[in-house]
Amino acid sequence: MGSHRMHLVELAARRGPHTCTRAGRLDRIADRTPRLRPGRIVEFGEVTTPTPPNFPQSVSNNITSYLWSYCVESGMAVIIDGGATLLIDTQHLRDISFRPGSIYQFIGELHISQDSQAVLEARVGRNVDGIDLNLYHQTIQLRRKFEADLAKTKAA
Amino acid sequence: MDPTRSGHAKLLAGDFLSLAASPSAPPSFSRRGRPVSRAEAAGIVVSYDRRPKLLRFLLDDGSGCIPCVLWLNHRFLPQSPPSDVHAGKVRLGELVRVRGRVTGFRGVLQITVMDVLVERDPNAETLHWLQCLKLARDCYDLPPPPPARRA
Repeated sequence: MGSHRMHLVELAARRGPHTCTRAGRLDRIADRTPRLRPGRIVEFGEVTTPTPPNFPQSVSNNITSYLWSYCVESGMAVIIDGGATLLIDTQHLRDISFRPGSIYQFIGELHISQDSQAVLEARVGRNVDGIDLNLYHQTIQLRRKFEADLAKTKAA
Repeated sequence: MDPTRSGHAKLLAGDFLSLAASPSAPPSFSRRGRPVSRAEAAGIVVSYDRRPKLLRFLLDDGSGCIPCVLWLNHRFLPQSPPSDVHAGKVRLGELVRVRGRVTGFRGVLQITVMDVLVERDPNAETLHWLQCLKLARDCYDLPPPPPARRA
C-alpha cells in the first residue's frame, strides 16, 4: 500500500501539481485535440502550375472554384478556373454531394504527384453556390496586405 | 469606456491569436494596448471533439485556427438557447460564427463560446473578413481613448 502511494505521489510530481483538478483533466483533453495548420487561402493560379514553386508538399491550402467533374469510384474531383484544372481527392469527405458546375471550397493538403500534377487531399469541403468570386478574390488581396502589416507590427 | 473592452471584437484568427495576455488574475488580453475581453470570429469547423461536459472545436479562417470551447454543463443556468442547441450546430465543414469570452488555456488563446451561428450565406465569410479589416483600420488600430474624468 505504501509503495503504491509513493508511486502515485511520484506520478503526480511528474505530471505537475494540478493533475487532479479540472484544469488537469482539460490538459489531457487538449493534448488529444489535433493541432491542425490553417488552410492558407490561395487563388487558383498559385497551385495549378505543374511544379508550384511556392508550395512545398503537404502545405495546407484553402481553394474555392467551380467543379468540373467528379468520379464516384475514385473519389477524385476536378475543379476548374479559366483553362486551368486542379485534382481534388475527396475520399475523406462525408455528407457532401457533388454537382458539376457548382462552386466548392476545399481545405486540405497539397501534394505533387509523380507526374508533377498537383492534387489537393481535401479534409473539409462545402458547397458555396452563390458566392461572389470577384469580391472573394479582391478580399483575399486585401487580407494579405493586412496580414503582412500585422506581421510587421509583431516583428517590430 | 473603451468599446473593445465590453463589446465583441471582430478579429481574424491570426489577429486573435496574437492578442497580448497580461499575467493578472484572471488574465486579461489586449490588442495594441486596448483591452479585449470578448471576441467574435467566423471560420470553417475543421476539427471537433465532443465530450459529456464540453465541446472543443477549431475554427479555420485561413489566417489561423482558433480553439473554441463550449461548455455543456451549464444547462441549468438561465441561458437561452441552451448550450446543447449550440453544440448541435457545430459540424465539420460548416462555416460558423461564434461569440464569446477570450480566455487562455495552457498558454494558448481560445474563445469560451456563448453563441454559435451557422452561416448559410455563401458570402458571409468574405463579408466577415472585410468587416474585420475595416474595424481594425478604423477602430482597433487607433490609440485607446483617454480615461473619463470623474466630476
